[in-house]
Amino acid sequence: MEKVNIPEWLKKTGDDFCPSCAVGRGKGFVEKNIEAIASFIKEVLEPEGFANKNGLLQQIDPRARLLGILLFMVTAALLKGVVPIIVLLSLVILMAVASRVNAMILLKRALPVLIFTFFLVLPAAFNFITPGAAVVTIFKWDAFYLYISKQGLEGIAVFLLRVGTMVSLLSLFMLTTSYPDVFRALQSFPIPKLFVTALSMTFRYIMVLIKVAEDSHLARKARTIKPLTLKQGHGWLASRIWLILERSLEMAADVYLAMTARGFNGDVKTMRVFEMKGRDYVWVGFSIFILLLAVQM
Amino acid sequence: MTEPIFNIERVSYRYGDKHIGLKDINMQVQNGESLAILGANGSGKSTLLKIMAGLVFPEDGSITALGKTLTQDILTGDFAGFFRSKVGFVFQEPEVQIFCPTVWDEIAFGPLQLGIERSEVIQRVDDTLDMLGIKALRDRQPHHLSGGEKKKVAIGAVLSLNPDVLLLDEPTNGLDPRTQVWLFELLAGLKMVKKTIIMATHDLSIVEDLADRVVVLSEEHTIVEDGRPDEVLRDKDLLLKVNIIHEHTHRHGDIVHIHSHGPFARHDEH
Repeated sequence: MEKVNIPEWLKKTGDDFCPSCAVGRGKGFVEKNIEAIASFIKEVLEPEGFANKNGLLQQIDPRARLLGILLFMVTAALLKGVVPIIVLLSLVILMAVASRVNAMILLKRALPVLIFTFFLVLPAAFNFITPGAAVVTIFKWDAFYLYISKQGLEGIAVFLLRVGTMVSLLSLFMLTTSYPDVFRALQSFPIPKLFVTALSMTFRYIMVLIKVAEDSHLARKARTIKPLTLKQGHGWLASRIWLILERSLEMAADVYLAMTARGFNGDVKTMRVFEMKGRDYVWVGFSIFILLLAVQM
Repeated sequence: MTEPIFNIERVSYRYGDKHIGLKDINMQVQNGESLAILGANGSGKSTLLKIMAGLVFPEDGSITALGKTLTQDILTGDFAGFFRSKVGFVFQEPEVQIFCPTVWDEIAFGPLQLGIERSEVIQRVDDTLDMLGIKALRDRQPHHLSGGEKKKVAIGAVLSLNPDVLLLDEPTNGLDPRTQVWLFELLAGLKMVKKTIIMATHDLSIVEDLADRVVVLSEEHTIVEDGRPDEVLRDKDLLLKVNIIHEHTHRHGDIVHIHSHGPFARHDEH
């Protein structure tokens, strides 16, 4: 057997205390972002707390639930004026309450989208895009006016309410439906099966890849005594991005072989075990009724 | 003697241009045989299994399985469904093998792809869950399971195809002792019902318990031994040479001595 020669420095043990107990800077930019992304994706992909509750939407067949939600979204797109959309949004909040989903969670999900949308549509408030009655005049020079118009503000309000309602509807569906059921429901629609399967596998494997990202960051952290310089940090980040890309390519190849080994030939065959009941038809009927009302308005 | 289920002749395989995976492999596997492919990490065991499963194809030489020479073309034609239903492959890493939304879907995936009647698929899935003792997991998402549970699901996903040949890549890897015992018993049961079991491993205990025959791959990617388990496992020099066992320092109180490590190690070997 080969004898292991342990170097002298490795035989020394230290019993001295830490000479400095300075407090570090806490979590860095990369760590915060990896944690935030991981937590967001986990929250989006695994909202099973609500999906397992015995609420209104949870009792409806996932296919009917998805169809109804899509019809409500079309309704939100067709409605004109602030008041009808507020009525629809109130209906969505009522549905959330009846499905035992906290309305604050819907707001939390909708808020980032609303903020982003607000800045996107902000120019529409000004008279150079939406002329109309002046509400606030920014400046006036000779014949040139720059002001916020009443019509512009109304347009923004309608748009934001519409976006908010749509995001709330979609969030409500995702919160009340377990992720396997989301993909099963999608398979019932005329969407190519391969596309749904690829999407489902992306959701499935993104968790594995996030774990790789988290672990590789923690492994570096465990060996880092002095903070990295900006250049070193960039180099490390680039190498980790490459590692994750490489892992995802290897995994994609292995997953494909594992599918091939079990008879997959490009045409995905699935077993649908959903069963439509009376209440599912009532739900879809109600969604169609609301849509028709919106069309009539 | 009947026609062998696998006939491998002068098979060589390379990864890219440089790295050799397998070199001049010649072997046959008979129907109902229980074969262990023994070798150190990187010796080419997994590649050999993938070639037998028709997932990768040799650069030189040929492989005949179930009476047909395996090529890319033949495994995209009518023979593919027949071959996939007869030859099941359990991957070393269950993570890559379980991709469906639920355990139930995972076990149903293979039979559904092969166009088996829906009622029979349901029956097979329920029976498989029952046999593996994982009925309670049927609606769980596979990536939430423990390592041992994932392995059970991966094995179940292959067994639901009812293959005649079961190819297992490092089947005991990463399993706790209880799950290892469970796996031994399952494979022993499958051996009793005349399934052909081919496993790539460096776990000598599974070889002793289950194999009828052992093929040893060297670190040079060639077959260096093909024989009965008792003969191969007695050959300490061979096992040391191919890096399957090693010698280690051992302590009894104040006495330190050296002996080989593994299930066949003896304390009087010093």
